[in-house]
Amino acid sequence: MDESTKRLVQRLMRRIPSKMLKITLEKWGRLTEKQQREIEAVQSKRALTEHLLSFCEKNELGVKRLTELEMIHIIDNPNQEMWYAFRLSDPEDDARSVDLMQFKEQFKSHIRELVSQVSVKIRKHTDEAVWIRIAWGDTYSCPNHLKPTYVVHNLQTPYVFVTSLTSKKKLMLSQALVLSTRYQSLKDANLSGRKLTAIRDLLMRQYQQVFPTKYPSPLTERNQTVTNPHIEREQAKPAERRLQLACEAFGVGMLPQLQSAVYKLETKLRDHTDRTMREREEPFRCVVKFASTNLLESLKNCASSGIASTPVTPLLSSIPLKGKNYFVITENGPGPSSQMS
Amino acid sequence: MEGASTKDVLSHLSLLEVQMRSQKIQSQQPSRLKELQEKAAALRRQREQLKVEIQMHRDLQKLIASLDKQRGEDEEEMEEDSENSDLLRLMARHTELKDLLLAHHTIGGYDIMKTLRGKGVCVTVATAYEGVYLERFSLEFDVKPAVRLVRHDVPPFIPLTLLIEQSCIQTDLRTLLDPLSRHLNAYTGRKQQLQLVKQLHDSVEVMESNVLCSLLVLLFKLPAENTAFLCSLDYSDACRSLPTRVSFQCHDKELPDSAEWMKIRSLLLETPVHKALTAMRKMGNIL
Repeated sequence: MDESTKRLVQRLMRRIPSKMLKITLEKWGRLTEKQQREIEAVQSKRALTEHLLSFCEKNELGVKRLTELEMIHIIDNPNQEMWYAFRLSDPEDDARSVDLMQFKEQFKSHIRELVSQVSVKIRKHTDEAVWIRIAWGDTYSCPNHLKPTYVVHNLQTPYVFVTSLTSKKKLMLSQALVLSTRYQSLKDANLSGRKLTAIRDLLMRQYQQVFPTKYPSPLTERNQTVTNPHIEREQAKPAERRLQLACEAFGVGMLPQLQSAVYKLETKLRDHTDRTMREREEPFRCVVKFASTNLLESLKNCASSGIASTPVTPLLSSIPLKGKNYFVITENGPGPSSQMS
Repeated sequence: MEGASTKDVLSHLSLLEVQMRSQKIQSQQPSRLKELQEKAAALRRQREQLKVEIQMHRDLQKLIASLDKQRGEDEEEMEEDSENSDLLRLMARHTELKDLLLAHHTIGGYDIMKTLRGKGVCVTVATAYEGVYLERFSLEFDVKPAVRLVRHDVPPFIPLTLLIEQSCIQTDLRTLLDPLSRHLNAYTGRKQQLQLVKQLHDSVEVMESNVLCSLLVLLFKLPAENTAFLCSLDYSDACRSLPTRVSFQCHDKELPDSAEWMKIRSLLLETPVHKALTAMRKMGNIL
């Protein structure tokens, strides 16, 4: 077994936690029953790696099979990588009838034209998403399987999710994607995060939104802590209005678990006390980052509890509305208004 | 003194203050009498107010009836019976609209209402298939300075921006809502058919489908020698819930062209897929 395959196995064993290993290996299905049971009996990671190496030699499993194993693991645990969302725009007329076979063939042939040495694997997941694994090489070297790029796309939707890659590779990937999906361009959607499920649910609107309706079903979320019945009674109407506006801005139920939002401010500083800063012509650049285990839920709570004023400011409600978590805010014209991009 | 209103803190406080003051008065009886007299006066005022309201409602109903009549006939002079006739006419129109909206909602048409911020409207489109209500989709519009879509929960594979471009929402919102409703109803119809196929037909395997439900590839098992038979349904018309093209694939190249399968092809083009599959199983074409 050559060095690169060995390194690949070692890397895989580092990435896959021991408790997931059994299931992933079973799904992979490349080990005999006896080998499977042997591996399950082993405890330490080091011994596991040794075993797997020897089994791969015995069963003559090469790089191709090992990349399958990696792909199975990533598809089942997509929330460990850093994902970036992209948006396809301007579909051609036949974009809506692209089917899986056509997409696979087209993508493979285009990426092979653009990158001289590349290894591409495409799988369709049960939820109709297409998963692509790309190992990049160039004219002088073989595809590097230690740093693959993963791409997830649902056909007939304009969204593509990609794990991190350099700008040069991004160019080639977007070219191949645009040609095979029959759109005209691929742009950054300004949405990123560790949890693929969260950013995908946000963009595909797979959470429950709330709209003003004359026939409402009562909002089941209520502040359960009864502090003082008199305060309750007085605050009932304003609290209900705040809750309704917060739900309209962010949604109800399980919200996509976004974990951060970044605002890059290029606005002038407005401080009544500090004259020197106020008179500066150049904008005061700063970056504001919100981080949370569940950002949308916490922002919604801010609005419904009254910490943030309602109606919710467009700066915050744009996160779910536009499906972005990176904003650049610039000064535009006189007065307190500022443009959002 | 009116009955205690629990909604207003200040009035409640003033009530308590008055109660305390009245307790300081020496004898109970005269104050009690005074209380009761004041209560009676308040109730009398309330009765007068209710009488006026009832009269107004009666006038409104008369006006609504005469408005209806007026629509059926050509120019007829409206009698100026009271100085409030314009206001009453407006109120009549308002009540009529409210009734119309309720009726519309009951039959599953579009719902429309003002948004909380007061700047726009929210329209809800209901979808249904085979007599069952499915999902509802909402669109929020700002109406000033121009009609503009602010937010919605239409899924991204429905070409909403294209439909907006092709409509004139500034003059008539229905130029957008009618095509959108066709797209959405067809989509939920196809989605529902797919769910039913998965639920009712275990022996048929769904090989491929997509989020738009515009493509369906099914694997049949034929009774003869347990052979496999692949059937592809293309729903390229996004406004229809029936396929536009049906194609078959099988090891035996001649089987798809047989008379039996030609009949099945036309069945699949004309009936919803879950019903077609039930018929095919009954007739013994598939397992």
